[in-house]
Amino acid sequence: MSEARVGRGQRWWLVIYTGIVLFFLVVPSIIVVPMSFSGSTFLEFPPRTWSLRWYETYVGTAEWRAATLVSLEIACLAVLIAVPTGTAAAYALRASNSAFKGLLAGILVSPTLVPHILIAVGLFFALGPLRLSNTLIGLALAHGMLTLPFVFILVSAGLSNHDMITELAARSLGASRLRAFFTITLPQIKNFVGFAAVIVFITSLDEVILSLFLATGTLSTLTRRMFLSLRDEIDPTIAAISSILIILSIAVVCLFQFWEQGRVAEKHE
Amino acid sequence: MSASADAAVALGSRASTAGALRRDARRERRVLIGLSMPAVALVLVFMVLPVGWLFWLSLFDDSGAVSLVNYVRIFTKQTYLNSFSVTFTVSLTVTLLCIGLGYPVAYLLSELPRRVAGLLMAAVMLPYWTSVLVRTYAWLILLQRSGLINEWAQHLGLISEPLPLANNLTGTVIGMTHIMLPFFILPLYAAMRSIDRIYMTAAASLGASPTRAFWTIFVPLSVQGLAAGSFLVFVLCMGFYVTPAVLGGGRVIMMAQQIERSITLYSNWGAASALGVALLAMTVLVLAIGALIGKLLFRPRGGDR
Amino acid sequence: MQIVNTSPGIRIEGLGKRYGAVAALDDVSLNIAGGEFMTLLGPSGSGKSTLLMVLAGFVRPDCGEIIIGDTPIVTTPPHRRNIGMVFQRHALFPHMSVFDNIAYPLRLRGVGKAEIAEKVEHVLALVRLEGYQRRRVDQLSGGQSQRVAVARAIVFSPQILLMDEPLSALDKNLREQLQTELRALHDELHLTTVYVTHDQREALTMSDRITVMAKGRVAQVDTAKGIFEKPANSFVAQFIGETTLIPVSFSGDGFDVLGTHVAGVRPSEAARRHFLVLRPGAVEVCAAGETAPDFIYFSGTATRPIFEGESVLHQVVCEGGVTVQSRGLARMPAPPSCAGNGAVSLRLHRSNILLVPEAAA
Repeated sequence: MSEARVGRGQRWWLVIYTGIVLFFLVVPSIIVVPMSFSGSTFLEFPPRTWSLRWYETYVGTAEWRAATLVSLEIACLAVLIAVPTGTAAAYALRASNSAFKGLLAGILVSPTLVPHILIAVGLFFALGPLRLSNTLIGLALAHGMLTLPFVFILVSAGLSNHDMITELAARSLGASRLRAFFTITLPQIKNFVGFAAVIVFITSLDEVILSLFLATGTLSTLTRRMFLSLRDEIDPTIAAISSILIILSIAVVCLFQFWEQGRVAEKHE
Repeated sequence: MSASADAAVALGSRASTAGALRRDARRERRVLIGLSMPAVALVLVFMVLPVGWLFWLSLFDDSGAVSLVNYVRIFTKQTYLNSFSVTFTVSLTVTLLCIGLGYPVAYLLSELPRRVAGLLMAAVMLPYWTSVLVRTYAWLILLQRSGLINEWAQHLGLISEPLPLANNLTGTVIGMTHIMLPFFILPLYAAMRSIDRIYMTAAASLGASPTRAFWTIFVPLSVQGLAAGSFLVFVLCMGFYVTPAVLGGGRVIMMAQQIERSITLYSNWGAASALGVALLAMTVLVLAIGALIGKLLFRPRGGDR
Repeated sequence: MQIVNTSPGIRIEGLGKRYGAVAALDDVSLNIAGGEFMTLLGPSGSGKSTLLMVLAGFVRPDCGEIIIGDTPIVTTPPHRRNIGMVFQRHALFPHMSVFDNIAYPLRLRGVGKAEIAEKVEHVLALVRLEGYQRRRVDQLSGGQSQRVAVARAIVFSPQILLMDEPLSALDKNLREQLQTELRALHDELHLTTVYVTHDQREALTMSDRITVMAKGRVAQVDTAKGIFEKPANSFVAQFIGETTLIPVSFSGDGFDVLGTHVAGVRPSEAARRHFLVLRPGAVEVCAAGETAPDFIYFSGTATRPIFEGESVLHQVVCEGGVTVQSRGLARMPAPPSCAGNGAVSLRLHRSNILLVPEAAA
């Protein structure tokens, strides 16, 4: 900041205030991690005794393991559902001149505006006739639908004018639209598609409300079990699971950042 | 062949190419719209239809006859009215807290060089990447009677008895503010970044002190982003379920929980669906008001980068 | 090794394209000879880029036909037209090297590896970028990028080459250098080329023939010299060169302009309004009152001349407040009255008298 837009004294106040808010944001998000290594049933910070017992409990309990598997499967399926359909829709609406473009875009973005509780309740019964209630694929499709707007918006933003012109160039050189898309356009929006996949995966993994209603009994997802367990008693195992989820989320995002930086770096070689 | 016959042939073939061209154009349009169909179908089948079904359901009473008794009930019975007022109160409180906490932060970040700001924004967005449930759980641990905050406060001698911070309204508001802040700061930060600082410089050259320039120039320019963030947070709060359910301890019943309770505890599908429709209607209403205010606040401004 | 053997001609017939109420192309017909360098020249909105896009196949016209050689292609999809295209911004594939960019169309056509390497090397030599195969796209300068784009567009021996303002994003010196290179390349390959530009200097220096377009219609098709010396109407005259158009009125055996009567010249169609085309190079400043046969004279008042380095620009205010520009070489002496707002005459040789009708709306 070159100009003294805000007075010196006020500046320090602002910095401290921001520091407090950031502290408020970050610390509760990650404080569970060290606490999960606490040896006693009462989670403490800092832990008086360090132990892996809650992790062992998590891995050792069949229900938790099953729930984890279910969550991972659904997350993977959700990615396979949301990313191709969302990318195709983003491309289609970018390339088309139809009068319905606006309407379709609106429909595709609408899931972000509808409270999830409504979708959960509605699907609770609507999936029955479709023979999809309480099935893996049913919940995966629901998660795919929830995350579709993110894919659509992200890939739409990524499809710049430059990308469309290079696609025209490819077509002028003899590539059909399909071929041009896969060999020229897609590689250029790789980052956005990849990021979208990451968002879909993590969002599906973390999703609670739909799982609550749509995945009962043996199909319980990780989050559902955690939620129910929270309402009944505070099971410290949840701390361990939470820590794993936190680290997983952060790791995935960091990995993605590194991968992206790596690509930028190699371009400059 | 004579010139006029040539022309006639040319005209005839031109007409046929015009037809072929029209057909091609139609086909291309259809293929492109077709590409977007799987996505649209997914949304229609998994959201529009179920929610529509819910709406349909709300119009019938217990005996199966069409009636508005469900709506009458939710707008007259105390429990439902309470859930409306709690929802509104919590949403408003959280929104105001977000503004108070988030505006200065967004402002500072928008003043910093991009690299530093990017790093700090990553810190702001960090909570977003961790699951809502996990964070809510963390707050539970922090805020409960035997939780971290009470322990330390007692240890430091600040209080003699544990404060009731969890399983009530306070805990809910704290937790939800934590969840909503990233949603508020991000768009506001983006909006503030795009305000050209040349205006502040101009104000200074005209004799305005930094504080005055801030309040009279910068803040009005940022109002659009502020409104956008606020309405977003408010709308998200209205429909929220997880955090009030866990941190409310059964004492905070917002609309989402009321809907869930109607089904799981009372099997009252009529009330649940009517509440659902009411929630959706309120969501749309708030968004519409937000959009209207956004339009009214719109003023053409130059200088994006 | 030859890239092109004989390049076919292009026949464009009755192309029309409307966007809503606006006609981007209005019954456009044009014949381009095989091996010709044809430039489409016009202001923005004239339809020149639309016409190029229609030729390429990216914009579908509402009606009309395009025949390349003997083949009608207006319903053929773009990737089957075998047309090379160079865009305004280089449109090179950023995730590929120079080699892969140029090899792309060859690989699509199933050309063998050895032949690909040979062809790529050959075209890189043609655009004077030997050895650039391994470079990445973001390592190229603007001029180099466009050269690679040209190389890529010709390597698969297309029937015709289309260029959409390829040099407009480059700075002046680079532009002029590449203009010369592109023209030289054309002379070597004899590839039928359609070139779009809004820069008249570019059009004049590079083309075999120029098509001047306005409002979706063809205004005039002729060689550069033809368009310059015999513009078809006031629009074309104004578009090419520095031109002042002065309305004339017809009287007796000739016409009146700027207070002077010129005898012995009549327009082809008396019905439309006509203008006298005055170009700074054709009008000379001379002493007031001078007369000579074969010249017509206008009287006026000189204003301060503008020194342009090699030349001097005089601006003379004539009858009715009309300012006429006259350019003379700096080393030639000008009449003394020019220096100080004095009365001067402007003279125009009778052979340089050029009348043009008003362009249709």
